[in-house]
Amino acid sequence: MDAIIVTFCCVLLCQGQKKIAANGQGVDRYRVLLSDGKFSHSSALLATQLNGKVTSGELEAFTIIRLNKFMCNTLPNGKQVLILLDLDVIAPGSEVANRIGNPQPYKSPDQSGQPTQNRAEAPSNETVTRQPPNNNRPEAPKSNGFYGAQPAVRKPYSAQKVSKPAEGTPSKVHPIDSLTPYQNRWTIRARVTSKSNIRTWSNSRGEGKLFSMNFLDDSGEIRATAFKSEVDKFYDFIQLNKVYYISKATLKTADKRYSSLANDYEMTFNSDTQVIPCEEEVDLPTIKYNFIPIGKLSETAANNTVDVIGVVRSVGDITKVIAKQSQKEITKREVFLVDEGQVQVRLTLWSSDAENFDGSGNPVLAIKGCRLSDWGGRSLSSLSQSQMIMNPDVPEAHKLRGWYDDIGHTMDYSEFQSDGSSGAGGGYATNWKTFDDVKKQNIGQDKPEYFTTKATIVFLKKENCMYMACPAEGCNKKVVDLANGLYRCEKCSKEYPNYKWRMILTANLADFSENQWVTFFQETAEVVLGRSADEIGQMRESDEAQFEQLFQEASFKSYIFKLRAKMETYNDETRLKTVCVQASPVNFHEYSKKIIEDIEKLLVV
Amino acid sequence: MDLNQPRQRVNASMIPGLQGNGVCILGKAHHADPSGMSFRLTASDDQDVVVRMTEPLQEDIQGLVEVQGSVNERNEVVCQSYILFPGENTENFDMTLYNKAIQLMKQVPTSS
Repeated sequence: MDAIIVTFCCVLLCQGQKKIAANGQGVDRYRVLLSDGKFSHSSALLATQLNGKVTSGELEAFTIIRLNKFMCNTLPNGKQVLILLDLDVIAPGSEVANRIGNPQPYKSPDQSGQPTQNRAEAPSNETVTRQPPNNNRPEAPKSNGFYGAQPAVRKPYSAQKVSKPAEGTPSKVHPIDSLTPYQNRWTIRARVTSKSNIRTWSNSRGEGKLFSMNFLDDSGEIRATAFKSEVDKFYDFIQLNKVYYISKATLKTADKRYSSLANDYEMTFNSDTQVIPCEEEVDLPTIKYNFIPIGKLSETAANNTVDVIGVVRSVGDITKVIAKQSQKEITKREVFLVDEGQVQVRLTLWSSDAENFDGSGNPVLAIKGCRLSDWGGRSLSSLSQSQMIMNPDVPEAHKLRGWYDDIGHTMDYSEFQSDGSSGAGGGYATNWKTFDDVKKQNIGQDKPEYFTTKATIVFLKKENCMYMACPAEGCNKKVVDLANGLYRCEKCSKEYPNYKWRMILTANLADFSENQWVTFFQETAEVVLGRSADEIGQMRESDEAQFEQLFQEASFKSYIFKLRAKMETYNDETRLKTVCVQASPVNFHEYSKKIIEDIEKLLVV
Repeated sequence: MDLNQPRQRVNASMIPGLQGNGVCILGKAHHADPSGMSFRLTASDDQDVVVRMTEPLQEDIQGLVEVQGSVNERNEVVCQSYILFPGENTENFDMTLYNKAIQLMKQVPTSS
C-alpha cells in the first residue's frame, strides 16, 4: 500500500470523535468523523501525537479544523482510512455547535461498486447544494466563512447524521447493504418503500399478527417484519415514503418466499427496536417503479409481478367469494385501469384493499408488485406485498391525469381476450386436452393445471361414494357417529342430531385416446348422477336396486369436463390426482363447430 | 351394384359421380308423387335429388329423412330403406354443419 503524506490546506469540520481504546498495548486512538459540508468520511484516525488535542478538549465535536498533513491508506477491502498527522483548530466546537450542511456518506466507486451518480455530485466549488438543516438553531457566525473555502472533495463512505446528540439520534449511520446478523450495533437511515397491511394468523401454535415493510437507502433494500406488540407500536407510526432511522432489529437470513428483494438478510423488529423519523431532507432514492404500459401486458409473461400505472376507469362492487383452500370468505373488488394505449385491464383487489378502495374521481393508480395472470387473457391481482398508491407524484401520473381529463375519459377501450383454442361462439373455454395429452405432457407436475376435455364416464365406483357431514352451513367436515343418535363435528366442536350427505365420487373417464380416474365432489357428482346427494343417500339406505340403477344409468354418458390435475406425492409415490371442477352436457352444435375447426387446422398441417 | 362397400354419406352434388354405388343421403323430403313411387329430397347442399321407391310409400313423407340406397343411371337414388325423423328432433338440425361434415369426410382419406 502506498503511504503518501499529503500536505495541503484542507478545512474540515470534525463532527464527532470516538475513542478506540487500546487493549493494554499502545495508546488510545481516536477515530474522527470529518465533513466538508458536502460529504462526510468516518474512517479518519487521529495520529497519536495529536491525542492531546482531544484530551484537552481542544478537538471536540463540531470543531472546525485545518488539516495540514495527512495520509490515506487503502485497506484490502477497498476502504480508505485517513490518518490525520497535523492539524490546527480554527473554530472551537462550542462556537460552531452544529453540523454544517447536509453531508452525505461518500462512497468511492471502487469500494462500493455502486455508481455514485445517483447523487450526481461532482467536485465543484458550489457552496451549498442541499438545503440547510431546517431546524431553527442559529448558525455559528464563523461557519459561513468556512463554507466559502471548499477544499478538494474527498468523498466519504458512510453517512453521519447528527442534529443534537441529546435527542438520541444515532451518531453513525450504516448502509443497508452492510447489515449482517453478526453485528448488532448499527443504525440505518432509509425510506419506507412498501408497507403491507396487518395480517393475522392462527395455527396450531397460536395466533398473532404481523406487517412488513421494505426499506431503501443508497446502498440497497431490505425487508423488515414486525410481529405482535411491535405491530401495535409501529404500524401507524411508520408511513410509506418517509425516511426513518432504524436501529436494534434482529437480522436473519431472508426467506425468499416472501420477498423479491436482492438482500441475503431481512430484519425482524423486536422490543428494543428504535424507529426515529428523520427530519432532515435527505437525498435517498424514492420508490422506484418499472411501469409496463397496459397494452404491453400481453407480451409480458404471466405469473410474474409487475408495476402498472393507469387511470381508474370503473370500479366494481364488493363481492364475496369462498377461498377454495381455506373455505373462508374473502371480499374482492374488480377495478379497471386504462392508459394511453387504449386497452383496459382488470385489477382484482382483495380483503382490506378491496374494502377501503375509493375510486371516485377516476384517480391515477400506481401498483408496484402486483401479479400478472393470464386469466381472461391478461389481468392483474394485488398481493399482500403489492403497494398501491393513488395519484403518486411521478411524471407518468401527471401525464395520465392530463391525458384522461383531456380525451381519455371519452374513449372506448379494448379488453384482453382469453386465449385458448377456438371456442366457436366463445362458448367454450381454453385449453382442450385429451387424456393421452395429459399423461404425455406431464400436466400438473409442478402446480395444479386446468384443462377441458370431452369424455365419457366408463365406470362409477359405488362404494365409498359419500360420507356423513356436519349439517352446519359452510362446514363439511365428516362427523363421528356417536351411535346414540348424535353426530359430533370436531371442527365445530358440537354435536348434532342430524347430518347431511356429501359426495366424493370416484369415476373412470375415457376419451378416444386414454382413460383417467377422476374425483367428483358434491356439485359435480350431483350433475353426473342426476340427483341430489341427500336423495342418493336415502336411496342407498332404503332402496338398493334403485341405487344400482342410478349408477347404471349414469354410466356411458358423455360430458364436457373441466378438470384440475396435479401430481401429488404420498410416501415416495407420485400420482396424478384429477378432480372435476365442472361437468356440462355436450352441446352438440357447439361441439361440432369446435371439432370442425380443429379438423381444418389439422388439414392445413 | 356393389353393396359390399359401406354406403357413403353424400349430398346432391356428389351423386353424379357415384352411379352404381351405395349412398346414404339425408335431406328434407317434399313433393311425394301421387303414385307413392318417388319423392323429391332437398339435400344438405340445398340441391334436389329424386328418390325412387321399390314399393309404394305407406306414409306421408315430410321433413327430415335419411335414405339408404344406390344411384341409378339417371342420377336418382333408388331407395332400399329410409328413416323418417320425428319432427321434434329435427327443429334445430343444422344443415350447414351437416354439409360441412360431409365435405370433410370426403376430404379426409379413410384409413384402410
